[in-house]
Amino acid sequence: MIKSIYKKIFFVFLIAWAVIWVNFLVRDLTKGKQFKEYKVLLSRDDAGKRSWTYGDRLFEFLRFAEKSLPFNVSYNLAGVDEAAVDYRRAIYYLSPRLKTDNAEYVLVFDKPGYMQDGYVMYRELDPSRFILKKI
Amino acid sequence: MMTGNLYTIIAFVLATSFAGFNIVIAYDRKDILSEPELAGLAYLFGIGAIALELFLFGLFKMKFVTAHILLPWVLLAIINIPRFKARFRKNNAIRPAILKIKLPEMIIAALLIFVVCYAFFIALIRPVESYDAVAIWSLKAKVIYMAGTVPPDFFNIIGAGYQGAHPDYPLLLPLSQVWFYTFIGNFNDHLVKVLFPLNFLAFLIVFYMFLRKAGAERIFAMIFTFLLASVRQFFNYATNGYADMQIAIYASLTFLALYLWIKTKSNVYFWTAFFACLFAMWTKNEGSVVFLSFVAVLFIYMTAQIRSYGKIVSSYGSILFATALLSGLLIAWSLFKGIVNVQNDVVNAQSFATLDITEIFKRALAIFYEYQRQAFGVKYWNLTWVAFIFMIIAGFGRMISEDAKYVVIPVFFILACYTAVYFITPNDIGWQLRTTTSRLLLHVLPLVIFYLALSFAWFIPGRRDTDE
Repeated sequence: MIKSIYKKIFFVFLIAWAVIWVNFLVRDLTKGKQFKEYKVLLSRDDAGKRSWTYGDRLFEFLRFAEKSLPFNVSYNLAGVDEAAVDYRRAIYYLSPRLKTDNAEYVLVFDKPGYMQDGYVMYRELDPSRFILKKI
Repeated sequence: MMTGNLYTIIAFVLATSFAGFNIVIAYDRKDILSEPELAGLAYLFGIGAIALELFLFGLFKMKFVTAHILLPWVLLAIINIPRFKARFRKNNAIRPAILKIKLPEMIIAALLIFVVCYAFFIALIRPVESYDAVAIWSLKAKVIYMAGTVPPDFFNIIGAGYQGAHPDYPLLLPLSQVWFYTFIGNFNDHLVKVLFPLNFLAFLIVFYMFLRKAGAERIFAMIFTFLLASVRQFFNYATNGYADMQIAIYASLTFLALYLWIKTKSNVYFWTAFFACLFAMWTKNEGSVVFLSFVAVLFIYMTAQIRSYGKIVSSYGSILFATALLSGLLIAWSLFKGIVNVQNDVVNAQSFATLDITEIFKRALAIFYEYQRQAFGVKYWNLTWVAFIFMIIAGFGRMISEDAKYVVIPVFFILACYTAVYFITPNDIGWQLRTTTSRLLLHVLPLVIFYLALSFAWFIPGRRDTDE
């Protein structure tokens, strides 16, 4: 008798599990826009995928900084929130260049007109995204 | 391009498994492990062992070269040749049971294949990008790979140059990525993400086989393997580049293998637990909690033996040797961290010095609230925790009297240790709970699902191949 009750409980448990699993899977694909995202990502090459993931503007700037900066230099970031994942992605993408406070270069992102004492304009991608160099 | 990548990944899996295979075959002297268990463990232990080997290479300032990395394993393979011969002479017959698959089993198998393929798809569709991956694990991998070895000032660089990258964390995950880059000959942080679903797949195979060895009927083992794979939290961490899936795998392997050792008395499972515990310690700082729990389970088991038989009937020489070796390695790693001057930012001398006892009790409510929020959060955990609580209550007497308690004890021990850290952390408790609880619960998830399988089997007739 008890075993039969547990058997029923087990089947209810499995059905409930399957319903919850399918519900969230389908909901993420449709309402969570994952399906649309996958479609875009599948049509892109590696750089395009990174650009979509990091955000096109940030990735464009990071590529620009990567080409502009020598390999073994230090830099600092301005205009990117330190707690944000963008900040971590920038540091990761530009490594092994070191991010320090008193750096040789300052990468300015989305801060038009930003200037720091002791630095001059080094390279400019556009008026809001540029690199300063220590004098 | 796709085909080329596929061949590269297959070659990588074979090379990595070759290392692990040599470890497993060296201690499985009675051929207790089945082929699927061997394959899964070979990959999981191979990746851990090579990561450890790369660290030793780095200590001696040796550059990472694929041929040099594989050389010790080739030498071990030569020693193992008689073992290979003996094993393959025994196991050359095709097993017809595999061919007799029933419809429900085919459905579950199809679902499992779907989940695994979907994990590969999600992992590979984006480069490394999630928070901890870029802030800690893959960042370290990139720095090491670019230097060609572990740079002499690596820990200082990580500590000073990359705030939040936790220089004190063990290096299994970064060095396994370095091994991948070294093997393929270039830095490719899109393709490297294949490591995560590969770990997922290898573990699911072992999990299924361990359930079978625990006595579960094939369909039952398949169902619970699928339940584990379909837990959204577990699935997400099989794709996102965090180390929590890796430690969940090694921690669970440790205690599931210990359980099988206690149940079957086969020493091969004891050494499987030993290596899994070693690699858990080499994955994250939480590995030291896994080790403490490993010691606690052994202690409880030996105490139970003394009560029943008046003496320890297990091979206590092996137990003492394994415990001493793991303790030695943990101490060596701690001393090494002292020498390179890195310390944990949550549990350190300062966090105890600034400890306010009155504050501790105020945290209890916040901690309890977060745990219940997770337990009833069906989006990420489905019905795992609700069912676990139910089956702990319903099956309590049976659990205590049977070996299944050795699966449950580590769950509570590990969670108790993590909870203790929440009480003393100098960080904001709200932030700490929000950012870590779901990941810490993940570390014991496979044990919880395994216990669910065991406990449901107690109450449902015919769900076990063999009786206890």
